[in-house]
Amino acid sequence: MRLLARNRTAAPATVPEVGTIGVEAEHVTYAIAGRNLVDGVSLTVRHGEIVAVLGPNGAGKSTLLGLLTGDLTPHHGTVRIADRPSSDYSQRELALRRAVLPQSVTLSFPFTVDEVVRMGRAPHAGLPSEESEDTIVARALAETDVAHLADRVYPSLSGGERARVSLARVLAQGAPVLFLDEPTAALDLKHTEDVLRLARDRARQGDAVVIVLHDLNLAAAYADRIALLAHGRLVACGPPEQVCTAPVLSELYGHPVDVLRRPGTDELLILPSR
Amino acid sequence: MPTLVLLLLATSIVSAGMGAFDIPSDQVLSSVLRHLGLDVGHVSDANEAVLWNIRFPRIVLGIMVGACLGCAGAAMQGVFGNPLAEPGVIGVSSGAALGAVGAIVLGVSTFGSWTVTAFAFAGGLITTLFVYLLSRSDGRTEVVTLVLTGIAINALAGAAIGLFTFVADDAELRSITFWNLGSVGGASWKIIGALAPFALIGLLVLPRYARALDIMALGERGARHLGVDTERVRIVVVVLSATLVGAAVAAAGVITFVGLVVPHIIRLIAGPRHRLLLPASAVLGALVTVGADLAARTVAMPKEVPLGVLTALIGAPFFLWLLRRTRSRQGGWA
Repeated sequence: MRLLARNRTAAPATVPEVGTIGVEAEHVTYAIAGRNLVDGVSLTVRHGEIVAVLGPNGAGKSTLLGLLTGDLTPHHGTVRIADRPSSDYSQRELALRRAVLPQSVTLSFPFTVDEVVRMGRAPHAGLPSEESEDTIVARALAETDVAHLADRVYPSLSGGERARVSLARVLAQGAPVLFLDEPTAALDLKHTEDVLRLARDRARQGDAVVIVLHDLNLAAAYADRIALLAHGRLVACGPPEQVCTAPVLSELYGHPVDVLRRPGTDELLILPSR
Repeated sequence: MPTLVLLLLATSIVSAGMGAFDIPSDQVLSSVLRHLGLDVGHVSDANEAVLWNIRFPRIVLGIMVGACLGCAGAAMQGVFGNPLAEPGVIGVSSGAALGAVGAIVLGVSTFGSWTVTAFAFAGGLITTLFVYLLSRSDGRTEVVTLVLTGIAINALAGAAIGLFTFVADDAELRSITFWNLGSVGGASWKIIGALAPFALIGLLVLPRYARALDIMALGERGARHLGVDTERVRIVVVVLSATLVGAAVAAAGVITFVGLVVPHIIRLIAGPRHRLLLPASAVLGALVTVGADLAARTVAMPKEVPLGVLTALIGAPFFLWLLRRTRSRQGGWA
């Protein structure tokens, strides 16, 4: 406990304003065995927006996310969280500024759902807080529709339930920059929509949200901007309308893609040609 | 937790009364109270001598060794995020035994009568650090690598002990057997005094890392995302656990399975939170060790069954049963 409470000055000074930089990558390159997994990517995600990262398998999405979260150190270029390079922060300072939802979370010991979500509050130990931990945890459990599971043991949950509990933990962390790595992979249709709506709400309230997705329709429906990656490079980045065009996507995935409109609306419908 | 402490006290009092000749429990209590300045009841001088020179040191040593092993087991399982990790697994126990056996066979006497104990302690700590350094790469420790390195080190220490056994004479063999089988039969206040500082450091400092150990259940990366300095937690907890186990082995030889089974029982009863798990494992470890020692010295009177053999005999099947039960009830650990 004392270990976590050591840095008393670790908290961010104020809640970041909409439009300020949440996370920024500047010409970042990351290589393994001489191969550039991420190659000179620059990307800025501001408070108040959701940016979805998409691309074919092996395009470097996970590596880019690792660089943005500070898990990986770029070989070239810099990553900034707020206004400082992420390497300048201590682990705990980072934990107060960004939260990460990994693709899957396994737990070594059978903690209950409530205990798991409370772990999200660990970076705040010893810091003054406007709301009590109980309130924050209860809200996170409710928002992700897992309140009824609070006393269940995490390893006994289904894949979809685990994903939502992990998301609740990330929300409880209360960091203004959120990284979600395929948060909907294990979820059914309803919970997929719930989770993305939740992510959008967080962005509307001023968080900067980076989300790795596979589903183009979801990205087009919920993201403010879409970043397309191929072979470690940023191919396109902009609003869905601009980026999701048949030629760009067909080229990106190496498969013909049709971009339509949902009848009666201007909502994008993206389908592979069959 | 209070239940465990009461059980421990009761077992200790019963254990103090039983042996080559029985002393009634009320006399045991009277004797303890008299030493605390309360003059109640009557205890004969002979009983008094047996209690304070033989039985009490043995029980206190059992409590300390058991507490060290239980708490160290819980901490190591936590830090490696693996419920099967055990002090023995990463090489402390066999390293400590190797140190002791080496000192016996080579006839080293640098520290007088403390030589063997000192070597056992040093052996445990050195082996652990060696395993830790070997399994590190890129500033991190892969759990799988660490456990595998531990296995290799264990094999190496085992071979070295075998070699020492081969060249040892009869008297040395007897001592070596003691280290391999484990016993609190050699207890004295002097040994307890030497063990106490190490035991106290570990038992008092480890609980400070309870919250960090909880979070490390999310995995190393997950714990870092929540602000835990995983490298630091890992090195501190490993060294403290090694200190506890090294000290326990130095005082009582290799007593297996206490560090493995005890934390499991606590988790099944009270859940995996380390705030409770660490102290409760220490108390239950003490209870199990004192109880097992009572059995070890009374089941085949006047002979003594080696304590380490007894704990393994009870512990191993129990562990298998535990494994089956936990997996089916909670859907496994991972």
